[in-house]
Amino acid sequence: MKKILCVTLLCLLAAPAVSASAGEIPIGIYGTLSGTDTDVNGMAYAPRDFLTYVNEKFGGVMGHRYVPILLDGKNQIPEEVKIFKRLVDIDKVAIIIGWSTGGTKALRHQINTLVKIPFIAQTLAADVLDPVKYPYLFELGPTYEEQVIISLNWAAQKNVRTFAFVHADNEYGRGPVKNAMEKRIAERLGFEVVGDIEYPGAAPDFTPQLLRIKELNPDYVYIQDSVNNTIKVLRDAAKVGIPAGKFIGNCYNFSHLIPQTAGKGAEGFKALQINADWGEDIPLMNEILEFAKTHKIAKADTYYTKGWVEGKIIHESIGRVLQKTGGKIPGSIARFRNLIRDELEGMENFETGGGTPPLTYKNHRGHTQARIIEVRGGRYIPVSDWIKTH
Amino acid sequence: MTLFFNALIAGIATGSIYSLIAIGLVLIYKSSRVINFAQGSMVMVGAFLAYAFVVQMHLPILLSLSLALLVSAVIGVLIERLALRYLTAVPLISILMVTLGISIIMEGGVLAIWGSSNFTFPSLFPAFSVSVAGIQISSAYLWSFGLSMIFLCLFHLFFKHSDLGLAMRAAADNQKVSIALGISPRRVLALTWAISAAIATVGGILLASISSLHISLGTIGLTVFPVVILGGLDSIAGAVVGGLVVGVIEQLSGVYIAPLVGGAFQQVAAFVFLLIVLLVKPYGLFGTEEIERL
Amino acid sequence: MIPRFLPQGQRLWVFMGCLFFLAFPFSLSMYTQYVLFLVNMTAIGVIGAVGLNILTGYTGMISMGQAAFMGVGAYTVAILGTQASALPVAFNLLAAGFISMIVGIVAGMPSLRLKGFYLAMATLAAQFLLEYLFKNWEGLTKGVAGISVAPPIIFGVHMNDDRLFYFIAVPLAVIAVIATKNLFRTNVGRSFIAIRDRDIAAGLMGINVLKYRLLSFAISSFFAGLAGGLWCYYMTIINPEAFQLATSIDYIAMIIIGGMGTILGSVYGAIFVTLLPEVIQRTMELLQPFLQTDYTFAAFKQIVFGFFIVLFLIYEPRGLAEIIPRMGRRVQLWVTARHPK
Repeated sequence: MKKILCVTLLCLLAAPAVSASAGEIPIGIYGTLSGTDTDVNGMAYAPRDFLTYVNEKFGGVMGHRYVPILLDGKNQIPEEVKIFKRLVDIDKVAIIIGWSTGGTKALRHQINTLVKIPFIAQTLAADVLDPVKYPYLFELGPTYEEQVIISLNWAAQKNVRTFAFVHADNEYGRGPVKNAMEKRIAERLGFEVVGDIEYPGAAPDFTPQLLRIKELNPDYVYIQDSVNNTIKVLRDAAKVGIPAGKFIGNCYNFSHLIPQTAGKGAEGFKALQINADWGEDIPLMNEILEFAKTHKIAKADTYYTKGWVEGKIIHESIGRVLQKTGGKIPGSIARFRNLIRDELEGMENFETGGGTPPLTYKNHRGHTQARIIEVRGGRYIPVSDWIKTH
Repeated sequence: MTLFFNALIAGIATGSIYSLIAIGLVLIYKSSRVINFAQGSMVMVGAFLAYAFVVQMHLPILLSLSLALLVSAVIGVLIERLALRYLTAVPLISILMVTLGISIIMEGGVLAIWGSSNFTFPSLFPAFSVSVAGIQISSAYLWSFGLSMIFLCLFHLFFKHSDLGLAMRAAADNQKVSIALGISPRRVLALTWAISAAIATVGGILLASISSLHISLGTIGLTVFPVVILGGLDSIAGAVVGGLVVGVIEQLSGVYIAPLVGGAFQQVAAFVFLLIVLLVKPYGLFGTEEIERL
Repeated sequence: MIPRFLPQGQRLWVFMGCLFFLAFPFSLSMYTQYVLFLVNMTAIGVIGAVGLNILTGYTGMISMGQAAFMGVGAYTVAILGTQASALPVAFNLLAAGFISMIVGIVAGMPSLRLKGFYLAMATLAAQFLLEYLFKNWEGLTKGVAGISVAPPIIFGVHMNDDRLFYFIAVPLAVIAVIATKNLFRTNVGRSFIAIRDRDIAAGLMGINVLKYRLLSFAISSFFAGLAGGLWCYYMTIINPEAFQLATSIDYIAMIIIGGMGTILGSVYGAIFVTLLPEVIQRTMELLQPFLQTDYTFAAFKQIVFGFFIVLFLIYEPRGLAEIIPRMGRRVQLWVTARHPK
């Protein structure tokens, strides 16, 4: 009985799955469509939109259409592992755009040794970034550790002596801060780290942690978290009386939601910008606006721009592969994936239409520059030039 | 010492909201022996309803708050009428799971309508700050504490002096006698659920306006369990005391114990405390001991 | 090959079942890995659900900590599996069961004094405490980064190879089901049921209630630990996120939907709860062109899941274990009515 039930259900499941037929290139994308990290999920929608844009405008790439498959990883490691398995085995995708620090870390062996599939992660963790050890893993922008360096370098000019870190009790929070502490980045620049404070990421209230920060009284506090929790930090900081000007966030805190939700409590808050903002006067924005005429844009923010650039990278590397094979998709999916990886790694000074500086992917993260932005009058204003780490 | 007092004040302020929400749980338990796992979700749904009326439909604030209370009361009645009424004389786990299921449905509904982003709840209460003996107290704390206390007093008066409140207490105490006195247990039960959902909404609006509105607001429903266990499942006074104690424990352990044991200890602290209470005094400070006969 | 002690009529069925079991992984023409992945996850779910059913369905004690007990088993395997001197897989899995059993007994200690809702709260506290330990006992659990285990090589393939794992997980699930079925033919099992039905009466009849409560916790968490250990070998990486309260609730939902206090119920429930999200996801993807949304998938999954729990509790409190035989009888009736002999 059980088996019969099993089989009928499985047949039902298997039937509607889309298989890759000739002339179609399936691309796997997963992001947080629902869950704790949705405020930055423009970068999950944008690659799908870009590939649709290419399909509609140019009929795909050399006659082959893209089939972008967008799934919801919920920012949970088990869910992301499950989706990875499905994208690789059922949808047989050529390349995957992934999401979280924890999920990417969990999948790193599968990506690099078992399956061997090019994988662009939205996380900027340094732990999974190693062109030799993890040849199939790519990111876009300076790593979290480099972002710490950039912020500290900037703060060094401001007569700042003491620093503290705050982060959530997940891998995204703990990993990079631990690395930064172990490498003694702050100490080498002449700072003293007075605290590394962890809050329960899913809890509604961070007051105890902020009271501790108030007691330690650091000159600057670096937040290693995304929009949702940063809002909570700023809100509770206002309650216990720490000015928002003391906080610096990483690149995932450049969202209009922060000044909108925290109001005056966000004035002076600083964050990092690693790619062009929505609405800047760049060729990439023209493409987006052209697409927006006929489609609904899920999120109009800087993360959408980041995702659009990722779409461009995928399109470019697949285009280069097809040019070399004479417009034919290689018969073996493994070979196709390998070729895409090679083209991606070999990319040099690739123009992204102003979305980012020209990308050279030998280092597996394209570029390493960022600038400091500050909330003034409810809007983010750049307060530094673009700073490079290398 | 400033740190200690700051933590204490924050604890009392958040604790007073716990008390308010816990009362909803106690009311339902008293009148029908149902333990409502959906209380946290009702808090969240109530806050989202208020948000919808104030921000999305641009209704005047007082009107939208009353509408939110009304709609959530209707939801409360519907939960009782459509689900829990069918579950009499069933094992405890059925009751727990049915309310958990309802909570899952409500969360799914909010996710479908509003998504899991952050929303700016209009701040209903003007911000100011008071300084007492060198300790700064944020207006958010004063508002949440003050308003919770006002509502607690209102409930106290309602149950002590109004006919309806007295009828509800009578029905909870002894159903047979109350029926003999002409009190309809069905109506009392519906009313209990309506009031409980409305309290949850008040708590949700308070929480959302002093912080922000997010789907994770519902997690507060779990923190309320240590509160009611400490106070006793069937004691309103217990819920008030329990709320304040748990609020203070959370803040103090977050400030003093978390640095020693590492990580985010504050959430676990309430449950460690819950375990101790369960082992020492299982029916809480003010709860009635259940005596079982064969 | 077929055991002689089975009655004549059942031998054929068992033989067919074995044949099907052996042929299944080789009979799929496409999506072999993914289908086997789902079957394997279901098998792990069955072991965990059978364990929870012993505790909740048969002994009447609600546990909201099943996921955490699974976590204990998974961490045991991960820690033993990353040791330099490689221990045999069977040993690690048994160790996972036993360590989880010890933790289960400790977590079950409050049952000496508490029952009902209060005991459920104690297990909820255990769930949160264990979650906290997984996250923060860095020396042992490596914290939120988790531990990755190199899958041991058996018969020349990695153990987490879907086909090989199928031949490990499914038989273990079958053994768990048969073992539990036999448990309730013994004194111990019958004592559990007596305690569930009326603990005071059971005590008066001479059953040592406290001992059997702890025993029930022990057996239940042994199964949970075994399931967790398997999960660890299959996923090859574990982290605290996999063993959260939501997973515990999934397990309770399994036994509710499947049928509390029935062995087959745990099996049906595990299949149902594991496959439901997949079925909904597929259906929504088919409907995608009309819906035009992406994020509502998760919301819809939640709503349907919640409705199933509520509807089963109200209309079919005995779960699938009651519905499926009934439907079987109806079909039989219908067939005999149309083709009278």
